[in-house]
Amino acid sequence: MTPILEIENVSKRFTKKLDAAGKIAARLGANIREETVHAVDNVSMSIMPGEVLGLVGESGCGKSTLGRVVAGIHPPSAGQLHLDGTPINDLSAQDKRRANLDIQMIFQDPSSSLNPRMRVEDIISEAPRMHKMVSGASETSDFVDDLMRKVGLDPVMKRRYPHQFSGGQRQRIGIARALAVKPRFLVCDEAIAALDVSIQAQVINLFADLREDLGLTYLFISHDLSVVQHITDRVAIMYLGRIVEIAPTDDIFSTPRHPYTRALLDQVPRLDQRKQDFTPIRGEIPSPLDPPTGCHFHPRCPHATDLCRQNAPQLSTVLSGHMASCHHLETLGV
Amino acid sequence: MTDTQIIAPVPAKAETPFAQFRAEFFESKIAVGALITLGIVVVLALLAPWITPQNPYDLAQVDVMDARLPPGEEAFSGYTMWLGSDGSGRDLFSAILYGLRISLAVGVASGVIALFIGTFVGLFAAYVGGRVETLIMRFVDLQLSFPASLVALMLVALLGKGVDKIILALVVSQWAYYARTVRATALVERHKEYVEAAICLGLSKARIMFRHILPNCLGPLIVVGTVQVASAISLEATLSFLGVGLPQTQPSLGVLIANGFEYMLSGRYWISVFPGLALLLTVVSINLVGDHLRDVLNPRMKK
Repeated sequence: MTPILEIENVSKRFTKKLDAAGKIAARLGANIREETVHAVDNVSMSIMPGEVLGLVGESGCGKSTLGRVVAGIHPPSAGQLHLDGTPINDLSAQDKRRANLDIQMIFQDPSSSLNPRMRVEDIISEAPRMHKMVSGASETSDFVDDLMRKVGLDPVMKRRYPHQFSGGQRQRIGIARALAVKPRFLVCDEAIAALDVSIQAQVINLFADLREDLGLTYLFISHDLSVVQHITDRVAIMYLGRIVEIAPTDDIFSTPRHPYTRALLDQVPRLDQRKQDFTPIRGEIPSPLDPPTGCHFHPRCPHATDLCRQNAPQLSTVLSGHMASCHHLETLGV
Repeated sequence: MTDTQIIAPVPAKAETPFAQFRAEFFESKIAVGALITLGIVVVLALLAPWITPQNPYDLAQVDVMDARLPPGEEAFSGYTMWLGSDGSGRDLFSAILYGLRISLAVGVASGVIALFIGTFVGLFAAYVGGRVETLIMRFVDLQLSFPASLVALMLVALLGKGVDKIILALVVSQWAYYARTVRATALVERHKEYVEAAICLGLSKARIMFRHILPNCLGPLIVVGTVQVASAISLEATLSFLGVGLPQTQPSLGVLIANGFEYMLSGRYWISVFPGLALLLTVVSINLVGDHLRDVLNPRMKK
């Protein structure tokens, strides 16, 4: 089976260029330079149709940036995306547009992701009207009603503005807007992080229903490990722009291989280990402006050796479907 | 699994953003007072030809015998001059209302034209980015580093007198304020998630700029617009007072104040003071309305 989406050696760098004054100051010896953030560093992975892939990592590890590159909001600095086996950049203009619509995004903050000056019906129907997927007032109106019902909103409210809805309802509007262009792939960027726990469950169920009804594939970006364990088929762990481990969800939670994954999973509070003292991972996540040499995790890793400080490990297969990037996988054992 | 779906209930009260805005605006007594004052000023100015006892531009109605009458004195032709008359026998009440017409028209016209030009330039700068943006914005900075009155003064000195010329001078000296406001707001809005969503949905750049970003820049724009109209009116009065603005045949408030200035020391205060008060009332009420608009439209000040 061809993967629905393949991410091939994708990097995303943000460079803050110096302006004229900065250049002069730098020439005169001021301690400023062009700053480049390696938000995503040479990431490759593939996602099968109908799969839910979780992307987990600390804040600032580049998971949202990777999501935005996948959704076509940021062009990658290097590497490319393949949709159904074809590089998106090689498609004709029309197919490329369709490919971009095929991948839609659900955002974290439902209040800033909806245009406050537009009515819900316009928010939902704008893109399909622009892309000539619907036409005429009555067809558009039926289309909007249908979508609102699909995401669990009462179509009576379609003439309202976003601020008149609760957080969970706004997130449903955001989902309806994404579904309006008939995507096959949804990137959910912390899509439930800003919601109440009870509402989170409703939205997660909605995602599950939509997956079944519409055959959607998800890239589910989150830092909430219990949610990820609950809804994903596979999980990729990201650290400072790189994927450090990727495996089926059950494997990663039962037998994590990478020291970072282990440290991360140890911090999940569990009912059966209530008395346990938590040992936070040593140190802070390093600045992506100045990533450490070699393995990005070595300054915080208890098993780090000189090899880790000099060479970056590659992702290697541990078991079928389970890959981790660490120099000491054998010695660390299971 | 459709039974897990919850059709959310309809909230009890549906307020449109405009109704909400109106309710908040009317909370402030000062702002309402200023708005009413401004309304009265505008209505009086608009109705001037029908409610004034004299057309101060019609030389047949102006009698030199009535010159420099103090407030309340009866004119030669029978009506009472409640605000007195000026050096050539014009009834000051009539002259002020006619002057307000010109001042308001010049202020609003230049404000609206500058708003359109500034909005377009600012949005264009934010839209193209890069070198063009830097170039445009440095030019804006350059212009804003000169006092607006100096720019207008130089232009009027070059162009000469006349309503069209003074509007042009005011537009040139004020568009940069709008451009800077729009560009700054647009840059903030451009990084919000709803714009990313619009990019993701494949909407055209022009549509994103004009349909998504511009409507969200309107708040600051309205505020700057109101304040700039007030400053255009006072700038025009300044230029006219200095004798480089409007000609004597089209007396705006500034011209009236200038005319009365020579009589100030001889005790005939009313010729300058009443037009001055009218100008003050207009400018202050516009500014108060503008200030309160800013408070209401600024989401960070929301309770």
